[in-house]
Amino acid sequence: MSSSLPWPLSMHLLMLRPKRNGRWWRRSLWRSVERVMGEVELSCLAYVKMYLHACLFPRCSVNGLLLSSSPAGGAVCVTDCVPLLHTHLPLAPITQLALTQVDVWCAQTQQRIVGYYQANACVSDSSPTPCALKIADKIAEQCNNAVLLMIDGGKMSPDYRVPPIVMYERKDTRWTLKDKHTIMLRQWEETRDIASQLLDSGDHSLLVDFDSHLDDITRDWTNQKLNAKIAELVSPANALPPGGGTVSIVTFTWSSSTARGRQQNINSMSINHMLLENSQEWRNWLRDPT
Amino acid sequence: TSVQTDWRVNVLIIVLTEMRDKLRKWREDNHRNSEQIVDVGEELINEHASKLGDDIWIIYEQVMIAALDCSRDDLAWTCLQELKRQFPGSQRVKRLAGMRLEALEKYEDASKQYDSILQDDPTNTAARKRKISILKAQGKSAEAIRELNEYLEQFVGDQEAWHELSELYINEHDYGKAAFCLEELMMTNPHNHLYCEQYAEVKYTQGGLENLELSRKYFAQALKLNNRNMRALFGLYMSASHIAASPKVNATVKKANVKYATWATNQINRAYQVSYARCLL
Repeated sequence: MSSSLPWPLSMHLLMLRPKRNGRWWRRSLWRSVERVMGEVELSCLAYVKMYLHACLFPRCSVNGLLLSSSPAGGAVCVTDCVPLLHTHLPLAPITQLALTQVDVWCAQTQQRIVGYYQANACVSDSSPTPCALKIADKIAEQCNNAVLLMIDGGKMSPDYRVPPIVMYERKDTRWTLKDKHTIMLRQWEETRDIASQLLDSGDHSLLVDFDSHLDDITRDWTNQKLNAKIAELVSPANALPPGGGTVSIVTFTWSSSTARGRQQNINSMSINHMLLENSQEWRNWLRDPT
Repeated sequence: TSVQTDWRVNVLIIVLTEMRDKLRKWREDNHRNSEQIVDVGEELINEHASKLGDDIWIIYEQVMIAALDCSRDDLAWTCLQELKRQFPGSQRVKRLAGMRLEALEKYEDASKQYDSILQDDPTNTAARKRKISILKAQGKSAEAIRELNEYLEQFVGDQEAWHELSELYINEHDYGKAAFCLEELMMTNPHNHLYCEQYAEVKYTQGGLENLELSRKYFAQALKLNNRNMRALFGLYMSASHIAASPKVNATVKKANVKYATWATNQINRAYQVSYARCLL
């Protein structure tokens, strides 16, 4: 049971203590009750796409919508995200258009819009802008537990121990900081490794946001190809064994992600990466033809 | 053998010319693809500096700015040293040194550097613009706007600056003034469909029946200038539908706008069908 529960954000900050049967059992019961009240779970796919979107346009503010394929009521489970804009976030027409199109797509694919994320261009400022609050208010009209997620640009380096996100929830018409204990990220280290791997191999350029779609409408803003690529990396073959205890979960995740990381680097090198290597070899040969 | 070496040298020259042309194209188009510039430029500088002749200095400048953008301080420092050695006491090199200080977030020192340039040459536009960028980087948008307005009173023809001011106003949600800046840009660049379309978006965001009508007209103008601008097409559809749905319009206006919206829908559908066909091919 303990291995299947996602780790809340706060747990990563604590030193993991060895399993003590009585106390651990009580704590997990408490968490399963808490699950119903105001918890938000962020899936690997959603986090990786948000992260890659922010990395693809490092000099602009970017925003997007958070989607959920689970039914309404109870905990909010963010299963996917749609990157929207990287230019002129405060202007209305394209934002309205994007919201309508995403709404229609969600109705067709049994998903619902449950939140909004934004990463500001200015790295030192991760507070929500007025347009972020406006869009989040609009989403909250349709969805009770809507969340507003700001990406903290200053904490985005790959070796950072905690996800660089700040979440807000709506309480009495105001957006307030959400309690870190109620934000869940399943298998954070694996997610973080996948994100850095895709960034290193240059696959973040596969991401298409709504702005890029309008520049070239043959590009798919639902990102099916990238979703498939990420799903490959999160394959169930790498899931944890049942019944892993607190300490062993950490060590197993660590060792499996490094071994798998190396393996996957060889298997899933993108075409761009290989061409770059080839041209590097060609230039080496030109330098020294012997 | 000599024939083999000749052939290889020719290939080397072709590759070098290609890299140099790429850098020149990016420089002229003012692209901000800094990672690519650093990739290509670093190799040119490190391996083939002797074969570039006098081009090397402008390439040093371009690569240095790109290196600062990618946090490659080592490369930026090398380029700066070479430029300082070749052009001691140059204002242009001083500005590059100031940009490096900005990249290291030493805004006070950078500001002093630009002030010293302006003391020697009060008409130096580059230094003034860098000072405004420092304010923007520090998040002081109100002051940046004020300084930029003062700059534009003196240098009315600076397109870049008008565009930058319109962006600053949009981020501050001051749509009226952003529209004014875009009007200036449209006057001096009547054939640029992007300015028309941006102006229309700002008018749409301002809201109100008059602004919606204006935005529809400018979306139409942008489409006339470039009939493949999807944003303008969608914008035309949305502004026309909003006007037709408004209770304040009379029947003729409503009918006309419904016609425009239908036309826009047909064009959008056609564009998507063509794109799907292209994907299948």
